[in-house]
Amino acid sequence: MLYFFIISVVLVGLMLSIRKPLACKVLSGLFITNLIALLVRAYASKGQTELAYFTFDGTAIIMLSLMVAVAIPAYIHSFYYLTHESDRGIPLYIAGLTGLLTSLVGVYLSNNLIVLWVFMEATTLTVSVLIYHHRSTHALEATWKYIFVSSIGIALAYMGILFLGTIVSNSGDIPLSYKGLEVLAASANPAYLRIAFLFILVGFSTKMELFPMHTVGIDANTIAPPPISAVMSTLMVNGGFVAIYRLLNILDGTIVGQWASNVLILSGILSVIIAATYLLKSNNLKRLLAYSTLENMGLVAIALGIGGVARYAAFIHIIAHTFLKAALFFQVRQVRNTFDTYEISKMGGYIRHYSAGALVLMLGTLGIVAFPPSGLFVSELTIFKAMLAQERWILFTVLVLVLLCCVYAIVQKLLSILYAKETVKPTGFKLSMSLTAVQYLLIGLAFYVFFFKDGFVMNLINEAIK
Amino acid sequence: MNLAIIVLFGVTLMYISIAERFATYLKLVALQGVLLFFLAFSELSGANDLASLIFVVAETLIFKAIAVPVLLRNIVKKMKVAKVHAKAVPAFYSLLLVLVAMGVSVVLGDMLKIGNIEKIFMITALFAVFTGLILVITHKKIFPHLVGFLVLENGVFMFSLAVGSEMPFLVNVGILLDLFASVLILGVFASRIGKRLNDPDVEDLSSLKD
Amino acid sequence: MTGYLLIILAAFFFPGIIARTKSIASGRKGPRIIQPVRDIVKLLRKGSVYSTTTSSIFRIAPTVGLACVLTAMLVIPFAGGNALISFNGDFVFFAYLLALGRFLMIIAALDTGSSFEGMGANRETLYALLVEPALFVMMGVMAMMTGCTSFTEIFKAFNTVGDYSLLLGALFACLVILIAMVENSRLPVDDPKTHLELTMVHEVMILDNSGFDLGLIHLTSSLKFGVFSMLMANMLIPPSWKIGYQFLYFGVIAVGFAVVVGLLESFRARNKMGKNPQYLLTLIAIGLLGLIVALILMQKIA
Repeated sequence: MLYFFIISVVLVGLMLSIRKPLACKVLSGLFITNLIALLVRAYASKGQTELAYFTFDGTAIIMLSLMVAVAIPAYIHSFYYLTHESDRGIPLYIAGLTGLLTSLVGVYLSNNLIVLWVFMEATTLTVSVLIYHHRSTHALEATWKYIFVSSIGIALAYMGILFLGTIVSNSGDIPLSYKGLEVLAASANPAYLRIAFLFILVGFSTKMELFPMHTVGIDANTIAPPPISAVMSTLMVNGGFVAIYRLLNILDGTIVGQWASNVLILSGILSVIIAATYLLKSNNLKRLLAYSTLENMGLVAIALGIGGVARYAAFIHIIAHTFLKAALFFQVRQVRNTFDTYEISKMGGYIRHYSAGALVLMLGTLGIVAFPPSGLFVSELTIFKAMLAQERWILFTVLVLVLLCCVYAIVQKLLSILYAKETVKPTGFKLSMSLTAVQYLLIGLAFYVFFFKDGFVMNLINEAIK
Repeated sequence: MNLAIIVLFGVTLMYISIAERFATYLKLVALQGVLLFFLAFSELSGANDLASLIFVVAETLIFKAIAVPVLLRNIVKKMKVAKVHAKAVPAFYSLLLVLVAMGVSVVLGDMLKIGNIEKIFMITALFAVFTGLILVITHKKIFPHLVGFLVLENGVFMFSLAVGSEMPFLVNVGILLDLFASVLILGVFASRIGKRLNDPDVEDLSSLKD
Repeated sequence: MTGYLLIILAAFFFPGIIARTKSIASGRKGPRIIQPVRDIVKLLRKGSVYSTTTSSIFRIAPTVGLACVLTAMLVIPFAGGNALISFNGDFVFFAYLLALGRFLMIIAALDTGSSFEGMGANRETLYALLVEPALFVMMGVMAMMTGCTSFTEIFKAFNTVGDYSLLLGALFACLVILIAMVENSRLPVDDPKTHLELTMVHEVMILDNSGFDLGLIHLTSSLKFGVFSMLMANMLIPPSWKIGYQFLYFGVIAVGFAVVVGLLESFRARNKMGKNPQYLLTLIAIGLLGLIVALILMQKIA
């Protein structure tokens, strides 16, 4: 484990010092092998704790696998994007991407709240470098907002961690590990647990894109280059999910567990409502997808709050959403190459210009609105079943109505790109079929989620939610 | 003695909510840094970990009391505006909000009774956090946002002092946060945005909307 | 009885010392300290001219104002002794008597039918509204700390409550100075020297008064200063000191108060009108801070 970090840091250092694009390609290839080696090790030593700060449990393994699945296409798309569009800043970009992925590995695997928090800060740092890639005024604005609001969120999360730290008596073992906290939380003062949960939830909602501080993710996703948006919308959001999920596990056995679940449900439903409002209004393709992430994360929060079998649905939702959103964002880059703009009202007729990519878009749309055979269909159905089983009628009605608006907005806008009359003359950019093939692979994985009923992945998820 | 320092800290928090000139913000942030230095010294001198004590106290003095005000002063000098012209919320309501925040933090501090933390620290820390948030929310210009963030940091630092007398590890991590915040944010702001926008108003930064 | 006479004595010299301080601070020699007394005596000898639009309210208002202040002075003790009248809750009685006097002045100003005076009455009401909580918070804290509700008993027990009572006493003394400056319509809330009617607050309310009534109004204002300086003396001086020293210290505090007011007036400009509510809220904030410090000292919190 330590080797992984040392190798990654060395690779990043090399990337920054040797500034040739070819060297960057080689070094990033090395990083991918490093990552895959880590994944294999994780499968082999499942359930063990290493270095007392990192553990390979079910959640971590699922997230690591998702990371490998998205990181490889991210690198491939990044290199295409960089070499064809702008060839300055390649080393900084690739180094930033590698640093981001390394910090995210730290977030997924950490066993200790403080270590998790430090790695979250590292993700903020590395992502801001990536958002600023274009160096335009818009990029400056988005980067400034991102750094500022993220820092406020991190400071609030730190305050929450301090509150949790007060319940740990000076017993000599390593403070703030999840197992240790779980034991101590059962006998702690509930007021402290409540306040700690509130602060940490508000602080990490910047990362997971939930209601209180979701705006940073939206702006950052709009400005960043599409491969980075893909990584942000899927892997970083998963990082936030891991943090909040582990916190919920700590609080599960205590008196405040029910209250924490209700707070999550409230946050989730507010996120979905806000997402629906802005989805109907938005005209920018990347912003549309960013708000769709907000909506999906709201659903995940509701699922976590309902508990029971809905937690299983939350994991399925995360897995399927990762694949679908990554594929959509990768395809967005090719859409932009065709039309040279991100405005939806100006685009159209994509199916004539590049049918392979248009098919990706269409399948992705169907997937993201939870049409069968998408994996999201399974998860949303399970969530609704769990809601009805717990007799939460009002929540069910509101959620169904709001999701209706979301589905309408997404389908209408994405289909208009495919079939409407375009108002902008398309460039004759030569699009690469191999990139599209990668996207098909991702969508295929998302649809595959619909079908598995038994097997290795299910066991992993069950272990994660125990 | 601690009580007098904390009361003075509370007065600076109330004053910051009605201040109008950037120079006033600067002086108040510097004063808060100095007060925190004294507090850190008196709180941690009881602990037996000398290395950690020196580290924390030196960091407070160098960063909060000296480096951050100097950075802020460079920023003020570069900007052409010296006063907050437009507020989203008039000073009357912002002061009222700060008073409500003081009441809420007293009530919250009362609810959270736990033995080994001094309640007065927790109340002041919560008050500082709320004041920082109020500053960020009720202002339109970027400079008050920065100052609000620094006040928030001060509140978190004070809380970590209260808790961390038994767990110096947490205090060190808090200082890490401090370094990151002050160096990165102030450094980035001073170099990048100061160059681009001469009159940094958040309204200039609102092109990214739906 | 001594306290009562002392207040009247202080009231005679107060405006003179303020005016003298302001003059010296601007580099002039200034009028004699006894000059305002001579002005009041001159006014009291004149007759009054009443406008035909006014009614009986306008005629009785200055008299009732003076009577209110004289009655309110009855409840204030001196040097740990008993006031002339003392009952439970008499600080509320005190505050509301002063408010009654001010209320009559306000409706007398409205009575004249002049738009300027109406404007002044409007502003005066707002500032009185905002400064009252500050006074009550302060008195409430002192009542809470000593457990009594009468001025006499509060001041008997105040300085012996705890080690930090001097800190609180100093905080409240500052607050009293600021409240007194607002109640008497001084800078930075209102400028008594301004000659532009649009910028006046209190002066414009008494534009139509003349002669005997105007003399009564000036006398009322001086007496209010005297009352507040007696309050300050009670807060700062423990009742256990010898009686001779008490007289001396009262004199020192009264003169010091006047000099401070004069200096504050010389070196501050008048606030923008829109900034005044915020300034007054600051006073309330200081009062609340004192409340929290008192609660901490009493171990009710922390």
